[in-house]
Amino acid sequence: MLEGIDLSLVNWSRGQFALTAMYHWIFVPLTLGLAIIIAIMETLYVKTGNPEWKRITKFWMTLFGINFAIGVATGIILEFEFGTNWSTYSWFVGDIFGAPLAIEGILAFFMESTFIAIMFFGWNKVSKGFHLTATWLTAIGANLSALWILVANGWMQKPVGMVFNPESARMEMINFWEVLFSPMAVHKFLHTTSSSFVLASIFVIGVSAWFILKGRDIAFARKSIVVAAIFGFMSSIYTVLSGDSSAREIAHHQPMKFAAFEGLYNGSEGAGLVALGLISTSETDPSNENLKDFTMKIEIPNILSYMAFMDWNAFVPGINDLIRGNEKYGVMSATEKIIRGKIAIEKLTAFKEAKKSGQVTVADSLKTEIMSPDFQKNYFNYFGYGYITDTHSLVPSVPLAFYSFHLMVVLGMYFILFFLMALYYTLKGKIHKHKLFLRAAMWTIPLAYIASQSGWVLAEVGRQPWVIQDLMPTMAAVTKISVGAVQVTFWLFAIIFTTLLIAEIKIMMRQIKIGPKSEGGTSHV
Amino acid sequence: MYWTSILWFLSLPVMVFISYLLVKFTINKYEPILEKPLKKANPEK
Repeated sequence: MLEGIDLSLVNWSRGQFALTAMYHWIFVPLTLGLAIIIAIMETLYVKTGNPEWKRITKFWMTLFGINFAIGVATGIILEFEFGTNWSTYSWFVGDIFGAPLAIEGILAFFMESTFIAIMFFGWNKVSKGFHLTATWLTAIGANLSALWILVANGWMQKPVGMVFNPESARMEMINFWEVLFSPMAVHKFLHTTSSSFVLASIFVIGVSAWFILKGRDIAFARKSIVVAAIFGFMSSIYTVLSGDSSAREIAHHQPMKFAAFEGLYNGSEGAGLVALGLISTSETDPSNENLKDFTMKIEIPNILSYMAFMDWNAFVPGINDLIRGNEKYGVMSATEKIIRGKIAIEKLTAFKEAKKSGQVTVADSLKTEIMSPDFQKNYFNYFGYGYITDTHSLVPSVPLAFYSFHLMVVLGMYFILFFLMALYYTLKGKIHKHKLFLRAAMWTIPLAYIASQSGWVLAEVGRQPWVIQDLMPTMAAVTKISVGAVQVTFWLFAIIFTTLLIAEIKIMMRQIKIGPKSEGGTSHV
Repeated sequence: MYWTSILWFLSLPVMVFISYLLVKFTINKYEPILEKPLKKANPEK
């Protein structure tokens, strides 16, 4: 069925998309979080009338503007790649994926672009209230843009609100609200945006720490830290809660991903959560009955069962259960899923042939059968498995999923402590004395980016081999173009994005060194 | 039908609003400390 698919083409296409998405994700979280922080600061200015808050707002707005421009440039390329590199995918699910993507485009390009212009150039030209409204609408617009792209991504992780039409051989949306309010999409959006707020808060504290270390703009830096530490702390707690709900969704709908990011090969009742562990590199072959999954691990008993199913003793299936099946707990084997997937594909092929040869009655009968809820539930839901030839290819990279998940969680816990310490030292009026903490605050900025990227690595690597969970394997989604063309654009994008990143960092550092300006336009040292 | 999801969605702006109220309260209470100049300038070069 997928004869002729060049695996190196699939890998290079995946590599290119990962490269573009990861570079894009360097800029986006700062935009999402900083927009809200700026809006809070400007609200304080409007409410108190204190011009210091205007000065603070304008400084962070300048950094926001630099980051926003480069983020848009990388995002546009991503959207084009759906057509250039993933055209089979776009054709198969365009009716569903296209809708949120189009709304995202409208919100990103119209709402944000309109109000961002007022935000940057409207000072002293429009009323304070109108300017504040424009700032909040820019912040809301940026986050709503993220909502739609994450709704689309959530749908890929758990397809809902659609039906397969054998006439067009495409997925078609039948319930927009089910797609929008899918718990998978909702928790993905909330977890992603709140973690972006955390990243932006760390950025503000890190940059403010630099000012304090330099002994300049102290009041500006302290006030910025207070805003960012409180907002960051609240967002961190929210990130934990939404992440917990997100994990529960994954446990129910993507059990293989859940087992992979916990390194759980053999499922059990009352499964423990591995707090820290070293994955065994030599004996993780799922075909090995006596495999040793960890070289060492610190496990908290029963927590994984509770995290997944809100029951301390619930059975959590491991990778081996999902591959071989487990009758006792009603886990279907991968082989059975492959058989069902092949039946779905055969029915579709038979329908197409009947249509082609003009056998109207046979075609109608097959169409009715394919569209029936029973067939959709028991066969079509495993459609993608029909393309799978090796059951072990259903297992994603366990070390990558495990380490990215645990790195994200450990750093997330550190960030909560970090915000509390930043707030405590600042409110005690002693933060300038804690030089080690101030230096650590600056080094926490790259850690926030690492945590954020780890989340995406977990989400996207963990769901392999699927581009649409259980329905379409990644290798079936790729555009059949020459590997050479993808290689050329991969390196081209790598060079362009790296140049853009260096440019952003240099421009930002220059602006930070200039510092916040007074109303007259001069920097206030 | 979608109430759980809608409530989750609404919780995000609520969290932002509570953050704003906490910031406002803290700034009002600690403004003198935040604006206090450093006694001894000892900047890093």
